[in-house]
Amino acid sequence: MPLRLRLKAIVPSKERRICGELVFINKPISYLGDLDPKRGTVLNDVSVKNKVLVYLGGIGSTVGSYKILGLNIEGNKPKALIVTKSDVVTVVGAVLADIPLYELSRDDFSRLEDVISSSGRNWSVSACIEDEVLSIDG
Amino acid sequence: MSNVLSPYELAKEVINRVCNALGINEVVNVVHAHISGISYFNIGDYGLKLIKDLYLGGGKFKVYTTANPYAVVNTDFRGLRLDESIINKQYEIVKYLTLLGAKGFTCAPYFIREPKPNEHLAWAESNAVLLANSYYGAKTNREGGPSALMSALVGYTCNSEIHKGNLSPTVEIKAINPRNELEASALGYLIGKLYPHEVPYVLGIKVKDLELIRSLLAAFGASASSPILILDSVTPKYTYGEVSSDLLDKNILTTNDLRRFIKDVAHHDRELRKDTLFIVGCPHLKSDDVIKLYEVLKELSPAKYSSELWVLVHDSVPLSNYEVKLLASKGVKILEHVCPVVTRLSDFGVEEVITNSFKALHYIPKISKIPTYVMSFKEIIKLLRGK
Repeated sequence: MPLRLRLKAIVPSKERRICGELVFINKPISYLGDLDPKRGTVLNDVSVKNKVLVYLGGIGSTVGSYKILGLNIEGNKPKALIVTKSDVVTVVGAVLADIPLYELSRDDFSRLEDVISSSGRNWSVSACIEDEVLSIDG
Repeated sequence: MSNVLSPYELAKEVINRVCNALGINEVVNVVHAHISGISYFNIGDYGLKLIKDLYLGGGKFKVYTTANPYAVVNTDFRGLRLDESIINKQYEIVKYLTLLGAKGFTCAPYFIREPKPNEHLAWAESNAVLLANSYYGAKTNREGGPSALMSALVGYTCNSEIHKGNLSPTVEIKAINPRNELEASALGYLIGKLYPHEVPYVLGIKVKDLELIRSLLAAFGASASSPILILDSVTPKYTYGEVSSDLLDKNILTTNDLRRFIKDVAHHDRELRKDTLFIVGCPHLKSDDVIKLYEVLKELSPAKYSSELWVLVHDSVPLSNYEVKLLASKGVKILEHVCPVVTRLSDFGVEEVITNSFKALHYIPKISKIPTYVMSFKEIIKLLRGK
């Protein structure tokens, strides 16, 4: 199921091509509370280090920017963040932490979700971002 | 970045990069900055270093600046205090923010300096942002903690659609008029859960009571990302853009929706057997209002449960030593400038939290991993009276 999805760069990557294991979270993330920079995890036990993290977007506390920055300080940076809607808190965090940030349309988010849910629970796949295109080779 | 640039260069650089990322190519001057992210539990040593370096590098806030409350370092819970090293680092953060020019520490900066209509602000702290935009008719982005800090230094921020009064609603909700703080809080939280990344236009809210509006907006702030919740009978029209007839979605929230939701998260046990912390004042209560509350609190029975009630206020309440001791004998503490939500309450040995705030309900189980339930203020008082 190779998939190509168009992205919009919000905080562009300094590298031409970035690749990592895809982590898909079908909900918003409340960075304060859901993101643990020290452990490099989100929602208790999902590792984000070196991952391409796709989720609906950030919600809640404006302290969230510091939590994203913390991922960099603790050496647990994801390769990229991909959201359906970027907000100031996420952008500030991504800028300070030097983590590339992209937007994916809500329709493409749903397409990705369909592919993942039809692929079974232990689905693991690598994703690459180049020229504002997310490529997934399953 | 902070090692090479002066505080002002760093602030300009950060704001410039944030504006670029947001696709905004102009800035707007602000009259008041409000900084979030000052609890040592949330920002750790790197946050402390950032703030300290800004001061040691010669930084000074250029505009009127307030900051959020900090971790609960000024009291104990049933004799247990936070670790000395945490207390010291927290006070260091407070010291450097004060030296930079912060005027006060509360999540309710509007009680220190009330925003005027159309005023441009650079506020972080979601409940304050939402109240500024949705109630006072002022204009502020939902700044991240660090961007508000940078705006305080240079006195400007990105001139987004919200500053231009052009942010338009994307969804519509017909809502039941909330009758008490729990219903208001549940309503805000549910709207955010339904539409975490939309700008809702809410019809049917007729309350003018600031406390109910604050509860509603604070809860919405926890479950959503919008800088504004448009309440058709409350929010000044000039603060938002055109209301399209072709919105993404329309929805209805009824009394039953609220009741069902409250029932799921309410505390039903009338016999408390745990080390329970009751929290009232999230967001902070106005200290003047707490003087009135004293009359109710002093009538409570002496603490018979292994519990305490913390009442969080925006500024110090002028109570005599006798009055403070009387409240303490009933397990009641009135605390200013601090916030249990941004404190790791497990360090205090707290086993359970009961609060009338959905904001506290949202964060405490995530941050402190402590079971948290809601109860109205009236019910809390009834329970603590032992009746």
